[in-house]
Amino acid sequence: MTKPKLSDEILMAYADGELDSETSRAVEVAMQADSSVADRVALFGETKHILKQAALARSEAPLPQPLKAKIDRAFANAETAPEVIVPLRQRRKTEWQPLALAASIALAIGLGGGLLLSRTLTPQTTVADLAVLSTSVVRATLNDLPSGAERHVAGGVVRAIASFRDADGTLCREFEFDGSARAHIAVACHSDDTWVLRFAVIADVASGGYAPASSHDALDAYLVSIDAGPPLSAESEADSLSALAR
Amino acid sequence: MNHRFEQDIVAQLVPLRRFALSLCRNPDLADDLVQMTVERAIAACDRYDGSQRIEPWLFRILRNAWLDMLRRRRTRGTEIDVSDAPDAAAIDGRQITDARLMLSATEKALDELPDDQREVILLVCYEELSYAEAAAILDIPRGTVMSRLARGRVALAKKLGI
Repeated sequence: MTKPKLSDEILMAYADGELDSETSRAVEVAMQADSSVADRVALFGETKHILKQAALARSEAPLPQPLKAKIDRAFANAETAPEVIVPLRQRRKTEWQPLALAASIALAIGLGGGLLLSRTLTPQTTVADLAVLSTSVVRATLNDLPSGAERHVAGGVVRAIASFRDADGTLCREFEFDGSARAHIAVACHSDDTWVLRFAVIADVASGGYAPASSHDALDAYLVSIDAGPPLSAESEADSLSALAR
Repeated sequence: MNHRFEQDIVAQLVPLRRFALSLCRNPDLADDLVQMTVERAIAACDRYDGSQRIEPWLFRILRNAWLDMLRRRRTRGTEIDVSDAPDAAAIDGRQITDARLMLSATEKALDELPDDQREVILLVCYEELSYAEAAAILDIPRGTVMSRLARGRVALAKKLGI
């Protein structure tokens, strides 16, 4: 009677030192009895070795200076400005309140290559810019536009990016709204039968019609801060959205 | 944010960039990914369990940043394909260095593997993470890490004539 053949996974795990001692002994016995087993283990040992060599050769590439400078700045900013993004506080009233939003939201305005995070915009600009995110047509669009799709609405294009649930299980949607002069990246969460804006970055459309990539960093930081779950799959997004309609 | 946390992150920057470069194969995107990873890590520093190794935590953040980046690019549709090879004509010392390093036979063979196999090889064999750590980074069972890793290494050995 022959023993069941040891799988490649087991032999590899032996070569990598990831096996428990009992299975390791079984591999060693098999290696003694059958040189093809020993060859197979050697193959995994060899690939481990050459990959390690390749990794060592690669790691000599030093960190590029511009990247190092950006990271130094990120650490410096963390020291001096602990709170760049201010999540909107959950409000009891469910209606859309652009003015209240304006007072508490952190805004980012793209300036060429750089990005200025600012809370000092004039209230007029702020309200006008946020109002386009609060129209009933945008909210209706969030009810049914699947992520990955876009829809032309009055005043611009709504692009649904992703749906996810926050730490409390509330359904939230990340979306973009491109108007003629400004691009917006926003997160709205569904609460009490409406979409409540929780986060927005407003960027001047310098060229190309998209918010600068760096404004996504602000969004990412925000998503991390609210402990956003992973993006929902297309199916579970569809289920979650149709559940809202019921 | 304490000083130790910052030092721990700084110590991982070169491996993080190496992993980023392997994922996106474009030095500029790789730099963006590393920067995003650091910013996300800073934002989430209170959620880092100091009793655990920081590598898997950072690698996971980086990989999620990459997935987010892919997702956004796909959504936009019109933007450049991020898997486009870096511009070979660019006269940029960094790109030349990266290109030369990529030319080693191992790198070349690795580059030809399916992404799911390449990813586990990079984490386990390049970055010396355990199977369990790789599984946590990739959000897959340890057994899946093992089967992808074994298949990838067998394919690699074949390509390299081992």
